[in-house]
This record gives sequence, C-alpha cells and structure tokens, in this order.
Amino acid sequence: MTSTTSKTTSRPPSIAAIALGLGLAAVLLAGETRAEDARAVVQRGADDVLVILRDDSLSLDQKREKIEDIAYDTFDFERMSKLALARSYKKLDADQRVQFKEEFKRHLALTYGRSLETYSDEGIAIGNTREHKNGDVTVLGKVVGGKHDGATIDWRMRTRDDTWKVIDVIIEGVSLIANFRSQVQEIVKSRGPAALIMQLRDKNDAEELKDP
Amino acid sequence: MRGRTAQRLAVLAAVAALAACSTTRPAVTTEHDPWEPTNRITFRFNDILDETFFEPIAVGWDSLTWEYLRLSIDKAMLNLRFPVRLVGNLTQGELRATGTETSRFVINSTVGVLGFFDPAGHWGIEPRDADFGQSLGIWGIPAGPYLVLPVFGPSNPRDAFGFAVDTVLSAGPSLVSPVAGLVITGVNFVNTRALLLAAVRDAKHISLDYYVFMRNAFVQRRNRQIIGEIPEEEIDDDFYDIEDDE
Repeated sequence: MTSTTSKTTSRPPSIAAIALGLGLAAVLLAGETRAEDARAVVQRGADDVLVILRDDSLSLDQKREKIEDIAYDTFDFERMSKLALARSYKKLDADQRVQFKEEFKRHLALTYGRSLETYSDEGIAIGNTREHKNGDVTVLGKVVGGKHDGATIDWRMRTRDDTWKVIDVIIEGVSLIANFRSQVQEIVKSRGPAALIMQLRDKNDAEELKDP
Repeated sequence: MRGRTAQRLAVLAAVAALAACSTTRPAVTTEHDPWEPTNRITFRFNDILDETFFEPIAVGWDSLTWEYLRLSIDKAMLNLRFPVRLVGNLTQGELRATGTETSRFVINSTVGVLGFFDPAGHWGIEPRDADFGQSLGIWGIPAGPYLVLPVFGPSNPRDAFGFAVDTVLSAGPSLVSPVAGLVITGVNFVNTRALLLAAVRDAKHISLDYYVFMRNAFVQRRNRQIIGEIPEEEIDDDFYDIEDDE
C-alpha cells in the first residue's frame, strides 16, 4: 500500500485542484495496479509450472496434462489465433476459423507441454512491466540457471472479462505470434486455408501420438 | 611495428567516434526473400548435412560430457570471441560496453581460468554481445535479401560480410597454431550444436514450415540485436490490433 503526503500551503486548495489531483493519482495507481495484476498472473503461471516440473511424484504424462491445463487458463487462444491469422483471417470461412482456432489452441498447449521434456532445473525471474498505448501490458522475464541462463522471455497480456491473459510470448526478441503469422501467410498463399488447417491437425495428431 | 599498431588504434578510435556521433537510423532486416527457391535448396542441404553428421556427433558429445562442462566450454569460446565483441562495440560507439568487455576478458582469462568460468559475470560485469554485421546495420546499411549460407545457415549479404570480418577477427588461435585453431573451431562447433539439440528438435516439432520458421526467427532476432529495445512511442501496436467481435 502506498501513502501520499502533501505540503500545506497558505491558501487552501480548490475543490477542482483536489479533484484533479485525486483523478491523476487514481489514473497513476490504476495503471500501476493493472501492470501489477498482469505481472501477478504471469508469476502465478510460472510458479505453478515450475512446481509441476519439479514434482518427481508425477509421471511425464501427468506433468504434460497439468501444464496444458495451465496453458488453457493463462492464454487467450481466441485472440492468439486471430493474431496469428492476421490478414489471412478473411480468407477462412466461418467453419475454417473455428477449426483453426481449435487446432491452434491444441498446438500451443502441446508446445507448452513439450517444455517439460527439455527442462533442466531452470527458474524464471519475473521483472518489470511495460504498458502499451492500447492498454496491453508486457511482463518482462529472464531464465535463471541452466543452459539458457539469462535468456529473455516476455509475455504480452490483454484483459478478457477483467482477467489478464497472455496473447503473445516473446523469447529472446522472437515473437511466437509473429513467427506463426509468417508461416501461416506462406501456407495460405501457396496452398490455401484448407491445407493450413489440415497441416496443423496432422502436426498435432503426430505430436499427441509421440511418446513423451 | 609500434607505429602501425598506433595507426590501427587511431583508425578504430576515429570509427568509434564517428559511430558515437552517427544519427543514421538502424536498417531494419526484413523477410524479403527473392532467392527463396535457391535458399530452400541450401536450407535442405544444410539440414541433411546436420542430420547426417553434426547432430549425431553432437548427440555423442552430449552423452559423453556433463552439462556443466559443456557450459564451461561455451563460456571459454565466448571469451575467445572477445576481439569480435571489442570491434563490434567500438564500431557501434558503445564505449562503456567496450570497457566492460575488456574488463570481462582480462578477469575471465585470468581469474576465470582462460574463460572457463565467469567471475566477471558474478561480480555484475555483464557482457554485451556485438558483431560487425550488427555494426553495419546500426550504421544504416541495408541487409539485402534473405540468404541461406551453406553450412552456416540464415543470413543476408550484409551479415554474411560481417560474418567474414568476424571470422578474421576471431582467427587469433589459428595464427598462433593452425592445429590449435582447428581443434578450437571443431570443439566450438560440436559443443554449440550439442547445447542446441533440444532447441532444434523443438523448432522442427512446432513449426509448420521449418524454413519460414527459421527465416522469421532470424529476422526478428537480428532486428532486436540491431534496433535494440524499441522506445515505447515507436512500437508498432498495429501488429496486435484485431477486432474482437468478428
């Protein structure tokens, strides 16, 4: 909790000045709170994932399942799929959009779940936040320990129903969404939306069948 | 001899001063890929070469060594690349980073036993990676089209030239002993590939088009290295604009 002090002056401040001051303070505090809320969501997600990864009583399948559940809670797959499609979105019909969203969601959850296979006792240090003009907040983090020590990992967040959700993950300056968008555009341009969805589905099926 | 060294230092100092005063905007690297058909062939060739030779050797190295040793070797190789970072930072006008890198090299080469340990990092003297292609980009020299180099992978004409300069700058051990130079190059290659085993496998698993995945990742990473932390007012938020009600 922060407290503010004010200097006493010979003239009492006008009601307008007090209102303006309070308004400004409220805006500043609201901004700080918003960023802190976003940061807390990332911190909780990272903590939960690390607890699962370090739990030796869980099998790899159980770990994968639990981590995928966290991904479903933390990510805004609807927005992520639209961001990944970008201008290709209009080339998909309503049914294809739903299919793409579902397969993309599955793909991201599976990708997130794969992290357990390469995990070797790294930690995550959540750092500062950066607020954007459109209301988004980016939470900045770093990998601590292991072979990726010092690698940056940032989460771009946006609210949905008053809850902060991740809409992009940026690892060492590489945005997951920008990367996926580039691939999607290439496939839609050369082979069309149906091929994109089929390829994504085949990839997910193969990944699910793969032994952990 | 001493006169020539002084001359070289004077040239470097002049370049650093010019770089520090430069107001040119850094050149943005793009995914412009007019040579895609040839690039894809080279990319496939590199991938086959990797799967046939480099990856199996790296897997062997990975199983024969401890991770701690591999990370220590990686640190020592980073230390040996000091001339690349020195010239990179100097030509970017990063005088503070040039001093930091010099301190790191002196500390890690001595207290850190030839760079196998990183006491400088423990004391808060953090590295600033820099290369010559990055300097060219910061000077505003355009990257040119995307280019896949045989064996070395994603690049562009500007960064390929920078890479050639960096190779000369890091040739110190080869000048002392060609055998030592070969051994160091070989160990560095295998050790780095071993440290990237999981990352490459993951990239292949998660990508829909591995070629485009690598091209985009290279371009994004290069822009981050060249443009650095983009000021808030210059961030293109349009990238994240979508209509929620569609």
